[in-house]
Amino acid sequence: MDILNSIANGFGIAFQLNNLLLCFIGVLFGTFTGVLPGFGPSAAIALLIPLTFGLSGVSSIILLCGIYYGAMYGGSTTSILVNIPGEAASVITCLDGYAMAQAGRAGPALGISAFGSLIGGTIGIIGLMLIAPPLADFALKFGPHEIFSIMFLGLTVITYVSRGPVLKCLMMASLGLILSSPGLDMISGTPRLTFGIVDLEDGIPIVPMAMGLFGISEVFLNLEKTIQIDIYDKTIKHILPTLKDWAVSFWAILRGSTLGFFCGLIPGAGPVIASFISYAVEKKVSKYPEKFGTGVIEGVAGPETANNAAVQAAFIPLFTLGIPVTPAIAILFGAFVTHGIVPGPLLISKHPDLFWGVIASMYIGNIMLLVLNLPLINIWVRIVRIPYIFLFPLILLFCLIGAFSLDFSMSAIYFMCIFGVIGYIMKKFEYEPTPLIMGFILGPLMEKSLRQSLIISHGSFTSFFGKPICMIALSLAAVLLITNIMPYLRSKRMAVGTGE
Amino acid sequence: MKIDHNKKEQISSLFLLLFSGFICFFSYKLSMGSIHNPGVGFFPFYMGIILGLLSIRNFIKAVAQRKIAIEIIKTLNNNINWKNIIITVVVLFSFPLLLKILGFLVSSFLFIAFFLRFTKPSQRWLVVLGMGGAVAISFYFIFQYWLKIQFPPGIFGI
Repeated sequence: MDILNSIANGFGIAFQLNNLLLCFIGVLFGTFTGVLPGFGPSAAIALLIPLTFGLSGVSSIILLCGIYYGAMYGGSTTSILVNIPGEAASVITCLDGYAMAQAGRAGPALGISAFGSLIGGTIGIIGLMLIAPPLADFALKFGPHEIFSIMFLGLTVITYVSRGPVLKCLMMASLGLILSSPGLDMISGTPRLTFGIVDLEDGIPIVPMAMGLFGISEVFLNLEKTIQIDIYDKTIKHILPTLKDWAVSFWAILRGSTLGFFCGLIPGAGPVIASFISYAVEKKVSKYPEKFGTGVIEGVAGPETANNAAVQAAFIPLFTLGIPVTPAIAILFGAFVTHGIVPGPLLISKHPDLFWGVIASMYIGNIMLLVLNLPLINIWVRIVRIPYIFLFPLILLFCLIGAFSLDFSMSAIYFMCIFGVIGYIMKKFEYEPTPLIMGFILGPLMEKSLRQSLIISHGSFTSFFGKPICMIALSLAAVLLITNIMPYLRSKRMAVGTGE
Repeated sequence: MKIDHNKKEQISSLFLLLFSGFICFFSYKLSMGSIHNPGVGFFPFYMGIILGLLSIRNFIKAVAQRKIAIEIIKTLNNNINWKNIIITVVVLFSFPLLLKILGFLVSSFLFIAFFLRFTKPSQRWLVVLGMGGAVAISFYFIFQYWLKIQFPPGIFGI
């Protein structure tokens, strides 16, 4: 009953005209960023944060969340029609989606993708609505030991599932933790590692950093080469899937929703991993696995459902534990903090309007996306055809204005540009920015909880092992780290065995 | 310019090792405290140690792999349009100065026009001036008037 009252109240907030409009702008901009290759939701959220300063916390988060789940819808359109994934979570959709389009079945592919996204998204929201409040209540009992252990596990999982070698991901996570250190010490208030630079006294700002690492660096990468696009010039017909399409996609959508939901809960897994696992599962359970890649509709329905379910589920660790599980959620975390809202166990009790208002807006946003996506497909395809030479100066100018408007100072612009160059160099040297940004965001809380734990336990690390949640979290982290080292040790032993 | 994979690993590991040494040095100079009551420098110092150890490990791995196979990575080869990237970096870092001196309207016009004209493939002057003007004016109205962002007025007062 409590949940029903709360969600009814949430709908009251979400249906306010300004929130409806912001939800619409969010999902529209999200779809746009999903369609555009090389401009992901992380960069898009970072770009729009400064523009939300004049809005209330609820309205801002409704807008920014809309971008995130909107991008998942948009990404599939270009994957299916032009074989270019606008978003990483739609890479796998290219395989069967593009093959379907080539065979003249672009309509059903787009249709099942949109309906699957709606179903996956809705199941994800229901899970979020049911799981988040009790989990937040449970998390209220956590002390610094538990918080540190969970953060440590989160960071370990992120390094485990990020692209690239685990060693390099661990290096980036450590670098992120170090970069979170400059500024005033949170316990004593002493400035540290500021080197006399006044702009560093408040620490490195998260938004310009994220804009640089994810937005500007991506522009540099795109400027290296010219993107060639096959123009899809066939007419798109019969968008609504047939009964036969529904029959073969039904279980794929259900499996995708469940898989996606659980992937969304795991730090670092998120929508990208969810879509890949869903595709693998569909191929495994299929009666005709050899046909996958040639235009099988389950190969579109499963992954597209999974990535949307994962996006919604990814909000659960943020709302209940304050743990961002994907880069885009990490930037959203920055947006919460900018608006004076601290994500974590107290969020639901302190800001019920925000929590329930955002959840209700997600229901509305998902329906808006279905309505937006199907009739506007031809417009989205045209957007992909805009030459990058016209787009990138606009993206850069938007980033510059966004950074400046954070505190009307030039220092944020310089921070953004510096991290843009660092992000580009990192990508050239094959280092992932995701563990870095996660380490940076989790750093202050990890440090605070570690120092508090050590003070409480008089410097004893064994106190972590007397608490069941710490034991579970740290053991899981240890297992992950050991399983990463094992293949290396095995290869060493084999090399010794063969005399190399 | 081709840089092999292992060289890239060695360069980046050495850089991060130096950076971790730098952080450890300055963190140690701050109050480290004790394990019973960790001080200001405690966390960054030990994070610096961890980064340093991981960098050493990555460096050794890169050196060891060199004996087995050298994989040539073609990411830093001549196909990259370095001119575009260098121009973009320079213009980005110059923008704050330009904004202070010329104000938002003129500097955003120059920003867009410059990229359209001087990055490849360069556009015709008509397109450059038209798009530069249209973007500058529309952004000026959206951000300065509608969203009330206070840009520096510059010498032209706009």
